[in-house]
Amino acid sequence: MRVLQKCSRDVKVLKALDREGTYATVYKGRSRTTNEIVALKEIHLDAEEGTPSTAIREISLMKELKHVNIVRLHDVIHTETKLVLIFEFCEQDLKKYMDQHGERGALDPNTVRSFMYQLLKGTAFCHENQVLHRDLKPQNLLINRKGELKLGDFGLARAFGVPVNTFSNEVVTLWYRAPDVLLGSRTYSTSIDVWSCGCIFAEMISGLPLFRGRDNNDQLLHIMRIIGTPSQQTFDKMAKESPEIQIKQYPRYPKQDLRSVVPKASPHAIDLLERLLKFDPAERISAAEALSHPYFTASASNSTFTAGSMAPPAFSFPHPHGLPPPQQQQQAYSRPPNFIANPVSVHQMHAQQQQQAQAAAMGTGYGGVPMHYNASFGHNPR
Amino acid sequence: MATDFWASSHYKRWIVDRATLKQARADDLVYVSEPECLEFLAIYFANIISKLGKKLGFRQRVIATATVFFRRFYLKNSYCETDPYLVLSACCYVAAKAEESPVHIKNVVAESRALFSQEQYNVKHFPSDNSKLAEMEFYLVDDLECDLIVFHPYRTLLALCNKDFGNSNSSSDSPAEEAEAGELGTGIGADDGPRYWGTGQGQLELSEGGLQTAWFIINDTYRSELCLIYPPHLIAVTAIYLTLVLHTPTQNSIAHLLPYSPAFNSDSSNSGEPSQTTPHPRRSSRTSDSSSKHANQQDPIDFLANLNVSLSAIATIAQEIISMYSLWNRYREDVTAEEMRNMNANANMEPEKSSPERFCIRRHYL
Repeated sequence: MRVLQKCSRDVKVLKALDREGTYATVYKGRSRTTNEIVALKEIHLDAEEGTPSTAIREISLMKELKHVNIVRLHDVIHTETKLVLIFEFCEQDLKKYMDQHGERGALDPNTVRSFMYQLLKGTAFCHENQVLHRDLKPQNLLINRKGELKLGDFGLARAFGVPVNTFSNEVVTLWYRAPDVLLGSRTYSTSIDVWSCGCIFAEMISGLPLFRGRDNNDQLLHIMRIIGTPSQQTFDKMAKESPEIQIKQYPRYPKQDLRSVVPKASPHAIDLLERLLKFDPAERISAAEALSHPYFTASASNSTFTAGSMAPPAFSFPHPHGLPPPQQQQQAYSRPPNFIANPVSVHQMHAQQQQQAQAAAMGTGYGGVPMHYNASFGHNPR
Repeated sequence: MATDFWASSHYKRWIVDRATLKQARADDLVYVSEPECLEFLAIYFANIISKLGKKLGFRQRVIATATVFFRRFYLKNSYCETDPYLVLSACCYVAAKAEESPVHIKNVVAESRALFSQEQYNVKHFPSDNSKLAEMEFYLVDDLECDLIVFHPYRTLLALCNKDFGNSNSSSDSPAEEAEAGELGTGIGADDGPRYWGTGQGQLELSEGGLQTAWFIINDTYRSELCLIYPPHLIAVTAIYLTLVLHTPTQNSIAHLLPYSPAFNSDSSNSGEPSQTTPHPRRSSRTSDSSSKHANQQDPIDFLANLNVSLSAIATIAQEIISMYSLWNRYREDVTAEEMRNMNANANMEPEKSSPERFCIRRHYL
């Protein structure tokens, strides 16, 4: 990819990344002050309309949401013709990661467990803070060298609370869109993101998207073929809760056993998947509840990592600032993390590593350099 | 709107002290006949934002956000070096986007021109070109440092007053209709209330009229700088307190719960003797009759005492709101509009100050 000549006082642009957003171009850059690699999302401002509302939404929410499993917005550079959002850099998205590291796209069970835990952790944090992401899909989940998964692209996100009939039902890429939204619901809440998490979970296990519809109606049929056509009672209940839902006559498909649909999944994984993919949004498990599911709390399997798969993150959640010193960092990548060699729960692993990481990395950035993000990009804190 | 208030940019960066406010208005002080005029201008611009917001069909929350943006912008800028009419239009435009009720830029320009050309404002210079408003939006977002999530007292009010959101019978103009996404306490759900407010006593049940009064008091606070000085939950608690004190039907409905009420002295009232003037301890002197009759009703004094907030801060805010009403009584829109015109005329006659270059772009709109 071409190296761009354009450099600013604060950030040197290195190359364009093939992450084209709906309203922005993304570049890889380096902070001149900290030497840190960053991602630059360049949004062109319309002379007539000003800043796109998607950008306003993304900036305002991401400035407030700070969590290890959400891509950090370091700074915003505002110029006459464009707005540049400076994000922490992640090497690739989950889609590319699955293509490169997976076996025909499918990831090994330990990686799936780690990524799923992080996905739910980030989603639960959004929901606790009254934010719906509304566009969760593998392309919007970013993964860094440490194996940390982060929610990105909050361009469709919105604050929520009491459901109101003002939400758009043109949200979430079709394959990851919840059935209630496909039916026309505008009063959806956190369950819309939970459905997307379920679809992503199945895709990580099998390597293929679970429901691949061509349009709204076809997508609904794909869903019903696998999880079954809901009873009239369920439809009526959903219609009562979201009066704008349009219910037509659908073929009566029986529910398939998810073990035959996702044969590689463990019994705990199947159970969690069942709970994430409930047709009725009111019955779907919440992201916070899902984190306590036996899939995460029961002992992890004793299997070793498959070649080419990335180890789950070497740190706990929430993650302390900065990286460990180089020698420890090397260790984290060269051999699988503790919980594979010694079967302990994900929670125990995170607790152990919290202590290690805090001891190793308190307040240091790359190579032991203190990180002060406020100052990184010439931004003067008030 | 979203996220925890205590971790938010609103709390960390946009709650300021009186000295900061005074400093922000220092340049404008030169151009007004007396300092009180600046407080009249705060009312004047809040009124205009409210009018423009209503013309654009905004909910109260969007109007409140636009007003906060306007106040924040003028923490860093002065009226005399900018065009406040263009700024407030931009505030409405950005607030609509930030609160997810976007309006087309053409509508904002058209409605602004129509409103400002009225005789009472007599603003001849408002640009008809959309790009000027888009440019002003650029400066505004920059000065707001992209901190566009604003917390408002409305959500705390509804959380503390046990408002049933699911009640479809509520009238369309009721505050509950405004309680859209996330308005349940400072970035929290209703169930999390005690974690923030420290009350295990349950919520205060205000009548629809009482709730409406508290809601209107909150609306009125945006005519002052209170939204820049105090966290929104304190303003909400103060609005409840003032409702208990000032709203006659609410006063009457809670009279039996107050220490000086005859209900606390049932012995004397039954025997026909005049009620004692010395207050009795509130709980021990209640009769079983009165306590069973009102068993479900929250004692407002208990309620306020159990909130995890500084009651001296509530008293201070209450005084400031009352002072604002007193100021508002003396406010005259025509005089203030004239004052604004004079300020701009005087500021324009002076040679350019060493103000940021970008304000030169806007000076010619004045």
